[in-house]
Amino acid sequence: MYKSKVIAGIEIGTSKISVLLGEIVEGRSLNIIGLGQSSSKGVLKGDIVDFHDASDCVHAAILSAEEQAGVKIDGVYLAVSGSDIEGFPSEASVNVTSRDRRVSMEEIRQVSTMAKGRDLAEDRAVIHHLRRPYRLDNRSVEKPLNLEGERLEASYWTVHGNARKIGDAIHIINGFNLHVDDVVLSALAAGSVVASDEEKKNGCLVVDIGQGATDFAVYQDGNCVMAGSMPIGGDHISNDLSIGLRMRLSQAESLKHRYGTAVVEHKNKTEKVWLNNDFEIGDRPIPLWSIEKIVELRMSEIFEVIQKKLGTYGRRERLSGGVILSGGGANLIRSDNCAELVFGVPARIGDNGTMASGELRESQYSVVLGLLKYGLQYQSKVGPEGQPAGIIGKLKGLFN
Amino acid sequence: MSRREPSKNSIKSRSWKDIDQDVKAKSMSSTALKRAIFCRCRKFAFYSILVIVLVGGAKLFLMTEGVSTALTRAGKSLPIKSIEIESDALSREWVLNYLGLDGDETPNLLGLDLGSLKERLELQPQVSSVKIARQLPDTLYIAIQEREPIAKVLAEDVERGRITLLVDRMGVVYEGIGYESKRISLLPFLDGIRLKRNEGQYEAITGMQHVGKLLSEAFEIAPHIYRSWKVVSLEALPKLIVKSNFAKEIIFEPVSTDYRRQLAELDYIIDYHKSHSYKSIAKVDLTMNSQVPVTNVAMTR
Repeated sequence: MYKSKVIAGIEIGTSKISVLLGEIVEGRSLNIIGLGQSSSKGVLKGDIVDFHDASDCVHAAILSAEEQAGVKIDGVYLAVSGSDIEGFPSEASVNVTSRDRRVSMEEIRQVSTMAKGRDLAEDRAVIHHLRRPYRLDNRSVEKPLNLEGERLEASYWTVHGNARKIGDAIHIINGFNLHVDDVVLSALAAGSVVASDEEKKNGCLVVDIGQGATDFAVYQDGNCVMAGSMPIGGDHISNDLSIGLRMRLSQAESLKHRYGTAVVEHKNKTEKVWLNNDFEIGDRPIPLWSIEKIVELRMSEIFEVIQKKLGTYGRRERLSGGVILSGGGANLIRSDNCAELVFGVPARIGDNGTMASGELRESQYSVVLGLLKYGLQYQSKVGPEGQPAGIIGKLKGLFN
Repeated sequence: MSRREPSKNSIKSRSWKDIDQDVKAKSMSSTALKRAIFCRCRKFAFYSILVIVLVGGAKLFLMTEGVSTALTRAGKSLPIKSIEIESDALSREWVLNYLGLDGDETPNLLGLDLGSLKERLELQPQVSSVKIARQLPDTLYIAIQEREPIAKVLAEDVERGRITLLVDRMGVVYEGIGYESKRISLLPFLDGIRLKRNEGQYEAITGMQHVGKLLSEAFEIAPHIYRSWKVVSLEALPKLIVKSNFAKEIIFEPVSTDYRRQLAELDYIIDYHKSHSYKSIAKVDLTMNSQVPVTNVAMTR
């Protein structure tokens, strides 16, 4: 009899909540077995502002996924995003003390602990310590063990967030009597699916554009070296359309989906489209150029803010693998062209074809697919069951 | 990206894993609450079953403990009243004495170690196999299968001088116990062999299967001839040489089927000699099929 564990990748977004179920068989292979979705309430810019509404929506999505798969979830991998996610580099160095000047495991452990040991404010919680390549006497090395040198340096990009906000998201999941096994930054989850190994090695940027927040992750030499989040997303485009063209937010949202393009296509400023397209009272013509221009400006602004945050990592020569877009915002027409114009490197819309087929290939599912991939990697490290062996363990497994 | 500097009241970096994941019922949705209740019911059922199994197991253990005590008690109240013994030559007295069951103290039927009794009996070379059983409520049954002697052999013993040993069909040599002297006197002696001792026992004699066959067939179809046989010699194996009252040497050819032809020829020769009132014969050679050279005593002189 084979051992399997059902894990869920959950993304609590501003516009919708996605729950994807995967069955990990023998800790080695992953089968996608269910998808549950619900519209989101009580979430603003990636942050939970109404616990009750958000709980209802998340629980409805989980229940829908469980019913579709016909199984119960054993563990959850949760995507986090939002205004409070930040990151900073933390470095440490040690002198190689052995007589033969070869790096020992103890020295690697020591320098890693020192680098990760930076203090944080009381209300902050570490989400990831993203390790960058080690440096041994100023040369970059992936595995320094037994290499000869005098000074070993370790560097991490520490991603942290507001502990209470992360706790809110976790407690919503706990409210369904489920345990959160791991918390993953949305862009990292998406990046593990949409970016190829070659792109990661050459250096690339993954941008996950959501409704209320945008996350990003930079890969170099195959590793994620920087990641972050910012509270700007598709909502802001709709908001600007609403203010700039004086219409309700729902009308602006509809216009964005119907005519929005990230790079202006129609140069004729007199060409107009109807606001509601129903010729009822209140319907009026809107200049198409205005719609496209507002969307383009906002989209460019999103990419420019990211570029500014990246600093030297955003330079063209460090992103030769290009820019990969994911999330619902990436569905905006010509968003990849807009990214190319800002970053000056090739850009493309992420494809989940390596992991999924059909509906799940769309970029809006990159994050939940990435969460399952994280889950598979985690399970293959800790073992297929994660519960005590023996008769009592098996009996407990039957009843839990 | 803005860099967050540690504040004055900063603490050692805290991970999201430090966030408490225990959840209170009031923060659950109705669906989750139902799930939680169902899960707790299952846990309760699990622990209930566990308790029942443990308590039941303990009770069962105590009950079996009681049963074994009762059996021991019952065993003490089951003395042996009769011992049934089935054997050939070994007498009842000898068996009881050998097994130590002839004392005044009546042994307990359930307390006897049947395995060791069986092993002790089978140590005797005369015994081929033993079956011992308890027949409740008060009888011990012992069935002894003994070896059947077909010949005897003289041996020199350091302490007892010359002794007569018995040999069975398989060549096993043993001291016969309890046999009638008449039965033993009828058995022919074996000659032309060398007895070897190994760890206190005599080694089996090889070639006895032919001797056994010849003797049993002679006993069955020509008992008058068999009775006259005094010695069977194995010195010329595979040929068998029988020394009898009638002839000093009768040479038999070993055969895989039977000795009927050779015995019939011998019978004819004996009858012929008797009818012609000849003197005893020195040698009859039955190994040459249709030709049977007979050497008379006069001729040997």
